[in-house]
Amino acid sequence: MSPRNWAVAIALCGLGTAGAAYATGNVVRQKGKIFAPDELTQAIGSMLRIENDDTIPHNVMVTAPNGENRNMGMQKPGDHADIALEKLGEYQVRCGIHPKMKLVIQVR
Amino acid sequence: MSRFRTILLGGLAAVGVIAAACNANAGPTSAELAKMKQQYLRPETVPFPKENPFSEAKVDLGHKLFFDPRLSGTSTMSCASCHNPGLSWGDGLATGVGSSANKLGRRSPTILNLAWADALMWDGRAGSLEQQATGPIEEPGEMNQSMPRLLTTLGDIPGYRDAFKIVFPGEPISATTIAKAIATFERTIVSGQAPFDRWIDGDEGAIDDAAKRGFVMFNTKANCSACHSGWRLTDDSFHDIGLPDQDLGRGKLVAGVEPLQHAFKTPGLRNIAGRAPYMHNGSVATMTEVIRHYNDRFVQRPSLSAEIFKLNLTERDVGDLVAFLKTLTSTDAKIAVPVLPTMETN
Repeated sequence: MSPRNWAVAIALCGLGTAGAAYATGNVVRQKGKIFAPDELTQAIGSMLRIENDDTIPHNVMVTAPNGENRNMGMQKPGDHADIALEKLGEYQVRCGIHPKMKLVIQVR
Repeated sequence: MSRFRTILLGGLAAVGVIAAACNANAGPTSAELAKMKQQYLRPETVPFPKENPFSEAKVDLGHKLFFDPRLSGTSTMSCASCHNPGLSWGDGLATGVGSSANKLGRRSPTILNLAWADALMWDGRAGSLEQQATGPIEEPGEMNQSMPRLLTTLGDIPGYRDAFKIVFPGEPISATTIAKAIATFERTIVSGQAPFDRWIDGDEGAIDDAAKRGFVMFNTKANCSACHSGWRLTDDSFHDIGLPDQDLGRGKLVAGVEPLQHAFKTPGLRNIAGRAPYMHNGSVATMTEVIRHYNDRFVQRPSLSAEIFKLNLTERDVGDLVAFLKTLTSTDAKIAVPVLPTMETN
């Protein structure tokens, strides 16, 4: 599924979910030790939620476009991490436990 | 869908369920086994990053640097001292030894198949082979070389001066170009076809029945493949495997993340039979003992990997797993110690 289709799918799912706290945001899922989708474009100032749908813990680590690193700590199965996208450019996200899990977010 | 087709498919599904139930103790179905084997297909080519592409001359330069003891402060130790091709690119010791004959804290890992690796070092502190390559050279406890001194040394050797000029035209000899050459050489160190690969490719006679049972065990009851996955048999991830030592591993770099305390990178298992002793601290002498560790000898603590639990393996299971691991040994092309350039010659 392309990031665009994914965004549409998430948006459609979102129609039935009243009161989402991140109305402008997208959702990326961690499942089978991959991020899905693994690249997407987000609006500046939006939030991105990363859900752990796996049966094992993950550790979201974010590198902002200015090189700043942020460790979001551990996400147990069922937990999520919310990333505030406050800078223009490319955010790189990895799992600190499973570094092969990579996600690229273009913030426009 | 017509009603007939629905019934037919429903009936087939029921047969499938019955077949699966009958097979509960008889191993996987042929379809399940085929799917399992599919996970271990070797890639056809070695990946090189676009920032540091392959060239024969670069591999040759990296080969020389890798074996050159002048890369260490005392000129007594090369990369190959700890990553010896005759010992499956390790050193056969429980933990490494630095250039002052000092004992290091962790085992020297093999450099086999690192072209596909992600985070390097036991704790993943280096993000690429290029980032990793100069670390041990400058590390006081390891090769203890100063980079400015090394650049002068190499610059004074005509053979190196010329080689760097050819491989990196317009660039000075630097930590960056040294690292790029060594990383490129390292990417060419790939374990060859093993009996296991021939079996994966369809040669039923390539491995024996015990090894075939061990492969299934590896992927099912023993849960090894939860971390030792893919053709290199590693997930390139970090796990606390419950060894009773105080080393926090990646936990030293990443505070506050419980599963990373005592966590080390999953090593690949290619040529594992020739890589004893095992684990990040070399504390386990044999493959049989490694399997016994994962069976029930691990330390229970909050950081223990969620993939590790008591396995209740039988003696036959343990033997089958070892038989499987032995099929991962390949006969690799010999890599010679290169003729190194000296002050007087090219």
